[in-house]
Amino acid sequence: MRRIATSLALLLLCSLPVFGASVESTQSQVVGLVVTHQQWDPDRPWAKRNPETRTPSGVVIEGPYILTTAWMIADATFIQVKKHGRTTQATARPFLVDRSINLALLEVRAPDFFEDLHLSVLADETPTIGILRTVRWNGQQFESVASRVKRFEVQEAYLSDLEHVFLLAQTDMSGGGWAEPIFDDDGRLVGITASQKGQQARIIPVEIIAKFLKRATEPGPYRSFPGFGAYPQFNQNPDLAAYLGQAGEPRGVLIRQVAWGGSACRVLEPRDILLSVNGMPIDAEGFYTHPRLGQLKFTHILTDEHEVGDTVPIRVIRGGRELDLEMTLRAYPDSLTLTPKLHGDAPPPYVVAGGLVLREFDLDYLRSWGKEWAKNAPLHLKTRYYQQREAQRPDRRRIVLLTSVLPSPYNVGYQGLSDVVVERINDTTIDSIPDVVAAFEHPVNGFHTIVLEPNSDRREIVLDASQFDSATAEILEHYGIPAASRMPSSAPPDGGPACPGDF
Amino acid sequence: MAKKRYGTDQHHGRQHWRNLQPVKCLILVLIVLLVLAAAPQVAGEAQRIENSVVRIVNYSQRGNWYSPWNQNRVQQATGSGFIIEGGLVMTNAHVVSDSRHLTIFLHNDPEPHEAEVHLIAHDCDLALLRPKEQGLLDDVPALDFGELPQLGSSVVTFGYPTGGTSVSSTRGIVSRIEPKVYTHSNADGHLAGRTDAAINPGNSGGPVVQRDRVVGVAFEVAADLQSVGYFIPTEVIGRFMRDVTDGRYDGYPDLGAKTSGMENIAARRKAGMDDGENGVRVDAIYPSSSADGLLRVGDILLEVDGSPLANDGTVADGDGRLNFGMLVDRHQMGETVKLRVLRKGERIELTVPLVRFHWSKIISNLYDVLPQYYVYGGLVFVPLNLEMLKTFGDEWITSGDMALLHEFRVRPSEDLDLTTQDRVVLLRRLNHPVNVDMAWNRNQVVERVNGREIKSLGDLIEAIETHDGDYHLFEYASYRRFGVLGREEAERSNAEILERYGVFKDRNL
Repeated sequence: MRRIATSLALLLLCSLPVFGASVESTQSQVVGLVVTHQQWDPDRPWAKRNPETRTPSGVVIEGPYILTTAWMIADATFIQVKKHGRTTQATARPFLVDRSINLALLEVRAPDFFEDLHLSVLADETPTIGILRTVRWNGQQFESVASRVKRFEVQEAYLSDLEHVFLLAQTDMSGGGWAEPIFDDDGRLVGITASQKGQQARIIPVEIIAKFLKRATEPGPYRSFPGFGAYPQFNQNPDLAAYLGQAGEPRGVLIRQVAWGGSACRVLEPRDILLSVNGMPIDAEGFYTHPRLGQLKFTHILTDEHEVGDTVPIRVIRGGRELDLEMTLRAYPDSLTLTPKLHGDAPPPYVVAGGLVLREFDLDYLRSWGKEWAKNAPLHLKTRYYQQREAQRPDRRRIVLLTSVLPSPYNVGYQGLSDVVVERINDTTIDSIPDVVAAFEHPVNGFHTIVLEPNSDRREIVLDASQFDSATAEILEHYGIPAASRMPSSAPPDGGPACPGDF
Repeated sequence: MAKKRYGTDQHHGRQHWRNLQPVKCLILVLIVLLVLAAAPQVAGEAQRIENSVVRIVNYSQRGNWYSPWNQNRVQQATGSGFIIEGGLVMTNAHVVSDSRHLTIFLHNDPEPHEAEVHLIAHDCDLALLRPKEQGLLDDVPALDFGELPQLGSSVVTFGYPTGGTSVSSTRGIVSRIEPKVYTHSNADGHLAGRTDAAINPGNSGGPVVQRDRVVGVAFEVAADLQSVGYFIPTEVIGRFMRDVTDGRYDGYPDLGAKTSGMENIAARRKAGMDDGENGVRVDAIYPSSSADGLLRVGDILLEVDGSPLANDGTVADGDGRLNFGMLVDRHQMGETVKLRVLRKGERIELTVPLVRFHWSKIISNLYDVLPQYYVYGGLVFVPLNLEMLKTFGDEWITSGDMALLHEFRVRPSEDLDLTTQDRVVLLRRLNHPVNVDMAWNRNQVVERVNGREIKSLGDLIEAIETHDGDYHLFEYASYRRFGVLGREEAERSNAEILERYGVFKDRNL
């Protein structure tokens, strides 16, 4: 196929204005995507918001597939592909999406679709210096602009807590950050843009892409990237290090808390000093020396060198003694955090009970306060997100919010309530939407009693259980709500036995 | 951007410690002030009022809550006041707060007369001054207090607005009398009268007069409404005057119960209330408050001082309705309030002695005190209170450290014992080799030091100064952070750090 594609491209070239050779070769590797996406309404979780469109890029790779970022196809209802700057009839479908690493493969089933396209060749490694080319279709115009390598840095992936290395580049592309591919001088793919702020592009480097592609195409179930699952603090204070029994110059990072379900759970403990991972020494600020990319945060060792299921030797100081331990690597899906960043494409679970609108709390909901949510959202919800994301436990997996009350005579007195956390319903502790549904099955002495957190304007909501079903039905009818509840599409992942994270 | 939900506002920014709920259609009974009405009357010419209105110039200096060993620059402010019985001048607390030098000017008299603050009430923004010169006010007629003005009636405000030296008077209509948070303390809500008489800076403390009698003290303007001025009505003034008859101001007591309405019939049935019986549910009780040990969570409060509560917590008062908390506010500290409650099917009477609870102080603006602090090893520790939060600037609610805000505004409702404490914050660090490697060095609430729980600055000092281990261990409230400081080196460096940063004293308690 590649041979045919090449000749077709050459034919095309004859009718096009003059381009540099590398530009020409990349433009048949890059496609435009028209992604119609529709988000569930955070406030009215039974309904979808108006559909919107985004137009990211994708790059053609072996398979053939189109590679783009997971974020670009989030909530997609329809994905069209444009090639050579022109809309085609072809539609793409997700073949494999890994939200934790923010990459996605799309397939196009239309026969001959890829025939006039080129497959991108992956570079062996991302250059650590020099000028790269970021490309995209802008309407029918092809843009190929310079992006200068600045540095490599380990950061959280956009849609999860997973940490991996990003290439940060100063780019000439304006308004980029929509999955534009980046090529080196030889026209080989070196990365894909995850986001862009001003002129600084954050690029997922080819090393990560290659691992994703290998895992996506090898036989057997897809294995995601391993996560660390513990929260460190700097250890540069000699007094603190000495207090924890470390002699000499402080080195290694201090473990503050260990997340349930992460790789470190039941291996590391709070107040351990993590000295090395896989034999790589870690400094007091959590950096190790990568042979090519220089100083990187140590969590990169896991994504760079290992897979889920690997056993990695680590060395810690615990109680003043150095210990050699082994850590078996686990993926760290976003759903293992108490307040997930996204529900993925699964619709949000909810319950409308006697007019009370209840849903699980997540970042999607916080974002409903708009771009400035970090400023405008209620404090107790923001701090839940920032401070207590780490705090999931086997008995505390989700936070259920009463987001609003649909007014009716049945719920008079409670109609001003919004954004309060539900603690118990009918004497049952509430940990998820299925818990809510189950708890409403068992009224106590003819009443449903919903206990809210102490920080709320009221502590208790009492409803008449005998009228509950008829009132709920009336409210659903009155406010045009199709169903009283939606259960989660899958149970929250099981992190296994609790880890000793408390002290 | 506020989120739109059926037109209701987000209510999380609201402080609800005092059970103040918006009260609609409020018309008040007249509260007659007897305390000061005994003087013989010279029948009313406006001239007499003007003669009794004084201009007050206050030179004030506030402590600096960020560098708590320092005081800020001296500020000059002008306000108004009026002469009352007993050779005293009444004005607003905010006119004479943090005073270092205070002068008053009588009507048409260019001579400044030194005065002192006799009594000051920061929770209701009133103060009484006494001229240092004996007999200075003997020849000036004292103003008498009148009754609460009728809605729609006209009043005249006297004062020295916008820095002028001659008295001004403006006429306006009383448009509403309603409970309002008094900005001066920012934590207390009382009745306030509203008028369209022009009230401007400098008017503060001036009398609001009707038929030659003082019916209020001008004190605030609405920042977001046009020509809306507020005055402290006679009910609040009368309560203040009764409070100070013993020569001391004790302030408002707090019931210390958080309640919620029983508008829903299912809630009333579950609570065992009879048909036609109304009240509010006790949701929480602040430790060491008046209600502690007497009221219980789950009680239904039916009556306060014989007035039956509606399910929204209001009581009938004259021609209108008031939140029941206003009935508690009418009492003096140490008096009792009578409550009738429904508890587990029984209706019982409770007599509750009234006290003020500690938390009020934590969430109020502070005046006439210098900040408390302790500096050790270059670490600056201060109590967690509103003044500490204000070091983040006017927008502290959004720009303050989020974890610290959480400790101040959310945690205390989850753990009510915290409301009885003076929690301590590591405010910042004065950089020095001894502390420069500490990872968390600012805006951390200190939960434990050397294993000891910290409930006040005194606890912290004791935990540090009685410790003889090699290291001090500081455990913070957020994110399970902690820090360690070498003891011997810190002690060796203390004097040098204080010297280097110009801290003349290591503590103020």
